[in-house]
Amino acid sequence: MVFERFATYVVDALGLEGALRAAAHFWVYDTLKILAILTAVIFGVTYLRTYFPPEKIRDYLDGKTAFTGYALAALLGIVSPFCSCSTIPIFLGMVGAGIPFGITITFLAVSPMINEAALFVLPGVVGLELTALYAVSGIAIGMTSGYSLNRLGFDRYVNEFEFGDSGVDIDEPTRRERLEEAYVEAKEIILEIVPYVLVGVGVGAFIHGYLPEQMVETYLSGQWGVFGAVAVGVPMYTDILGVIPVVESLIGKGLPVGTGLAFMMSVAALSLPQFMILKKVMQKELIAAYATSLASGILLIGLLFNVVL
Amino acid sequence: MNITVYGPDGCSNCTALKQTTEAVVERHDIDADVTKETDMTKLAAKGVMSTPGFEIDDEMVFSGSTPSEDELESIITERL
Repeated sequence: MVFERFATYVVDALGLEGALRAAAHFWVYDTLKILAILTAVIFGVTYLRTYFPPEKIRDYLDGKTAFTGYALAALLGIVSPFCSCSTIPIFLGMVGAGIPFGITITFLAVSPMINEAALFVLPGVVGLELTALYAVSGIAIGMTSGYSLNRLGFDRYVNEFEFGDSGVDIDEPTRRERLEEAYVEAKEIILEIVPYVLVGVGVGAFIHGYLPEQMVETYLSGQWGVFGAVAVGVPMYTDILGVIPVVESLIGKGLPVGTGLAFMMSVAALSLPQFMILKKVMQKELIAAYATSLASGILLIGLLFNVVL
Repeated sequence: MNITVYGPDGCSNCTALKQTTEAVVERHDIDADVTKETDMTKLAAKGVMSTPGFEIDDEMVFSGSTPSEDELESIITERL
């Protein structure tokens, strides 16, 4: 790969040796690789997304029953916006339009947890198998959480609000308008993610070059590591694309795959700032139940994969 | 004129839109109050599902996109 060769060229030119060489190589190579994939994917996805405005997503889900509804909500969650701050208005719109509560929760959970850009970045970094596991388990957790919170009657904890009629006309954009919209949105998203990627790759590079395998072996390789990963990952707020290089280098040092997966998913699915936003639209009982069901789902998946794989 | 930008905390487009609006208002010396509404149930009450929402005097002018400064300028000035 051209990025690999470029990274080697850079470390050669700088005359780096040993651990520093390994770390610098990792940093240059991963930054280039992730940013390249990211740019292509995000532009593609933002373009496709112009065909699926939230109003359409809502209409798709309307009137769907049980399994189809949940599965569809999960799939739509994957292609939905990257930031939980834009998912919440969609969630409210769905609730307001009378989409069954469990289905809206599934959408809300899967949307941040499974990131479409991550689906393209991951195969090159941690392999196809782990990528597939990430997607399938994220969907499963989202569907289960939505279904169980619904059965337990948590819908009564959504704040009351009036759902009105928008005065904004939504007309079919032309191809040119779609491309423009995608360009503007993609640029914004990429600029927002870049710092997270740089920091994440930096941490990953440090681990790659300097963290002794022995330490991972001693402290992170047992099943308790999964609990630790979730406990650290839940409150943490960063972009999943910044977590991928960290997990990549930890797995390289012998971190069990299930633990890595659990860390990645808990960082993506839940965070303190997200709870703050949710607090304005739902009561704390629901937030607590939502966080608990997602966290325990992730925990189970992590423990399970550590045993099975 | 009252201009409201709807967007939750953490939505950088929404913050940027408010700043651009303020810049336009100031440059043209328009008598307008620019406020930001972070309560998303208020946005839902308007039937809007995409942030940011941009409202001038109770009319939701656009949502889910961030126009350029020039476009924003004509949107605001044509409603004076």
